[in-house]
This record gives sequence, structure tokens and C-alpha cells, in this order.
Amino acid sequence: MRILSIYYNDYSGGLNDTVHKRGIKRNEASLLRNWDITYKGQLNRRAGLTPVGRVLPFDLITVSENINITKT
Amino acid sequence: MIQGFTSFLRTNSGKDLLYIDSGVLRYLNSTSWDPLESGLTGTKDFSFATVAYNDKLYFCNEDNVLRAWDRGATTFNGSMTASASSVPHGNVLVWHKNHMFTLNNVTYTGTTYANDLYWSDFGDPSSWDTSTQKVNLPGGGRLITACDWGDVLVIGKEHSFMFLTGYGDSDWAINDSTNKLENVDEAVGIISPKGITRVGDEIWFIDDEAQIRRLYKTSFDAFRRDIVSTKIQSTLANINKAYLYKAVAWTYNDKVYFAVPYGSDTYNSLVLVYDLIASKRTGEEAWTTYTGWNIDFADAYPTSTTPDLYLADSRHTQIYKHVGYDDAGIAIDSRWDSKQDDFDNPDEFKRYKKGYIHGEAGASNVDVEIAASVGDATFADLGNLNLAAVGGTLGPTGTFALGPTGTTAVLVGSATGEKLFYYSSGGGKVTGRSITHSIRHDEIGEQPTVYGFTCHYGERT
Repeated sequence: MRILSIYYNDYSGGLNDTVHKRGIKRNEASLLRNWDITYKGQLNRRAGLTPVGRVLPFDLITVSENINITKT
Repeated sequence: MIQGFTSFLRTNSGKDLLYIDSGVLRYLNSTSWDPLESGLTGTKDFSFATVAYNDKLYFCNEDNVLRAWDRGATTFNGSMTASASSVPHGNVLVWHKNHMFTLNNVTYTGTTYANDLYWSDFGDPSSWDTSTQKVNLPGGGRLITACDWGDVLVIGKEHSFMFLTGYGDSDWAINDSTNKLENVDEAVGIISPKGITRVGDEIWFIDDEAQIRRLYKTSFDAFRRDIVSTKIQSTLANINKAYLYKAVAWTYNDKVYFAVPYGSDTYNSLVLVYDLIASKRTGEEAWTTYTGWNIDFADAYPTSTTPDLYLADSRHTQIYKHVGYDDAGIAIDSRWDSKQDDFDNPDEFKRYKKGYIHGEAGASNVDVEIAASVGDATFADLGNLNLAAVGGTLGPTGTFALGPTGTTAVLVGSATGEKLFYYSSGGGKVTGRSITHSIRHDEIGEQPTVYGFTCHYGERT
């Protein structure tokens, strides 16, 4: 028995789910989610989502603008 | 539900982020979304257009008159200039060649015109002549959207695309003799007003059959189109076409995004991502997908010197910045599955022995899983590539002076790692004609990179 090796070092082909997974290229993926393939030879996990800003309830805004408090 | 979202970038470097939800327009005031205008009616999406020459932001839809904001004030219900109801206001607003165009159920003085496109006076979005500055576009289905394409305004209808050219108040009149209207193909159209985006000197869109296409010009200025989604037909087949009108397209940082309703979802639940850099490298399509996102609007907004991508949620009233290690506290379930690889020797049985996988991460301690499926067997977990930071804090903890000036230096470094795995370790088959590898990551706290991996196997001589 001879020992052989395969080196997967290119993911540039991205997702190919049109063809059966036997028929796609070695640099393609039969399933691909949330990895970026921008840079050659790398799978980079995509960046996430960070919430921006807080929403002050509309009623509070309205009330605060209608109240005129005077210190005596 | 968010009905509109935009950035407002001005020539004096001023900038704002705004969104509309439940009839209220809000802007981001430092860290809170403060209300600017209430009383907006209806549930339809709003369309925004920034006009650079007068530094104003315009917005409207068929139920709400055209409004303008110059950022002169942020007084609640006292900062907007509202046009009269006699000014045309449709669901799509586009600033093109110093005219404001509006289309898609354009309404004025109480009447709605589904197939008419209107434009403002030259350089004046507040002045409109509804008797002469319009064009009727019957045929080809409903009038859906428009997109600036340099000298051309691309008009998307339900079953056709048209190109509108012209200049000045009167030169936009379209008729057969001047031949300024050309159909690309009567069979190709668009049903989502937001499903179109400019990509360099091309226009990309998701069509009425959920295929993704591009429009481009030849060197002889002829218009052409082709499909750029030939590799993802199984994914496209599962789009919920009944809600395809909600699809959103945008371009950012050498990627083209299409948020679509997937499976039985009635909201945008999957993002198809075309990687332009990878595509240029191979000369072929380069698609990936983002899950866990429900996006209705997207816009670039510079928070420092370079623009960041901001996204509006399609299910909740929330704006996100596309940054961070997780999706607002939820781990990002990432997975890459290889081809079912017979190593170009389909008849020969192989005995899969071992392999190496390499990767890198930042300061946190995370794992990347490798799994394999021999033949058509289920995937067996072959172990984790552990990526932990190299080094630690240098010197005493806390604040201290280092050298004559400057700040404290802390050594943390990034983590590079290598994992030796054995195919026998997962309990799955180790002999077969073909093998499929899978690389997975589903943890909070890091954004790993995986480099190459190897597969060492034996074959009878």
C-alpha cells in the first residue's frame, strides 16, 4: 500500500450546490455558510453584528418635551 | 418594523444615520435614536435620496409626501420641510443627473399612477411639472424600481428592463422616434424595489425568477446581461418567491450581498454573498452565504476614516454595525464542506489515515472542529483545532509607566495552531472510495481563520 496525501489550500471557488458534491472542484464547497473566502488559502469567519444605539421610548420623548418644570 | 434606513453624508463632512419605524423618523444622536419627525403614515417602505449640491436628504413613499431635511435643526417635528401633496411621491426616489426621479405608485393630489415615472426640475427637487416631466411606461409588468448607472437611469419593471437617457427638463421625454428607451429582454424583470445594486460599472439585481443577474456595457456601449448565480441553483430554488419582493441588494467592500426570504420564511432570512476578490482570482463565480441575519436595509457609514456597513433588522427595530465576534450575543454557526473527493481515482478504495489542519485566531481561546464523511456515511467528529493566544500580560498588571513616554505595552499576540487528526478517532468509516471534509466553528468570542489542511491516505499499489 502506498501512502499519498492531498493538500486542500484553496477555497476560492466558494459554494457550488448546483452540481452534485462529487462533481464540484476541489476549491469549491458543497455547503458553505458564514465563512468568507476573500483571501487565497483562507477561510475567515465572517464578522458579526453589534447593535447600535438605544431607542428612547417615543412616549418619554413626548412627555419630556411637554413638561416645563420650574424650580421655585 | 423598520420602514426605511439611510446614511446622510454631507459635503461639510457632517453625517447622520436615520431610520423610520412605526411612523417615526429617528436619527442617531450619539448613542440614542432620537425622534425627528412623527406622523408618517402607512406600512410601506420609504425611499431616501441624498442631494449633494444642496446638502439635503429627501424621502417619501406613496403614502407620504416628499420631505427634505438639511440638518439645520434636530427639533422634534420642527426640522423637516414637507412638500405639498401636489408634488409626486412614489415608493422609489432616485437622484440622477441633477433631477429627482420618483416611480412605483407615484401619488399626487390624491391619485396614484402605477406606470408613470416623474422627474423634478433640473437641480431643484422641490419643483415639479407633472404635465410635462413624466413618462408613461406601459407593458413589461409593474413599474418597480430604478438605479443610477452613470449616464443612464436603469428602470426595472416586473418583466422587463429599460434604459432611460436624457438631460435637462424636457429632454427626458421618451418616444419611439428618439429611441431613448431600449428593452434588454421582455422576459427578464425585477419585483423587489431594493433588489438592485450598482457594482462598479455594472448593475446587479435579483430577477423575478430569483436568478441573480448583472447588466454591463460592451466596449461599443451595447447593453448586455448574464446570470452570475449558476453555482447556487439549489439555494435559489429554496427562496420563498411569494416574498421575493422583500429582497435587498447592496455592495460593500468588494462583496455583493442579496438578502432573501429562504424556505418558508416570509422575511429576509438568508444573505447570498458574492466575493468579488475571490471571483477575480479564479475567473469564476465565488459565492458564500450568511445565516442568522434578517436584513431589510443596508448602508455604508463612515465612523472613522473608512466606511462601515450598517444593517437594519427585518424583524425587530434594531440597527447593527457589521463588526464583532458574534451576532448580538449569538454565536455564528459557520461551516465549509468540501466536495465528495475521490482524489481523481474513483474506483480505488482508500484507507484514510490522518491529516493536519492549520489556523489562527486572536486573543481568545477557541476551537475549530474538523469532521469527515467517508463515502456517504454521516460525518464523524475528528477533533478540534484549538486556537489559544500565545503569551500573556507582560510585566505587572494594572497601570504603570513603561519607558520615558508612551502607553503600557501588553503582549498577547494572536494564536496560530496546528492539529493532527486521525480518521479513526471519530468512530466513522476509514475506508472508502471518497471522502468529504467539513470545517466548523460555532463559538462566541473570536473570529478564527482556517488555512489549509491535509489528508493522508493509503491506496493499494
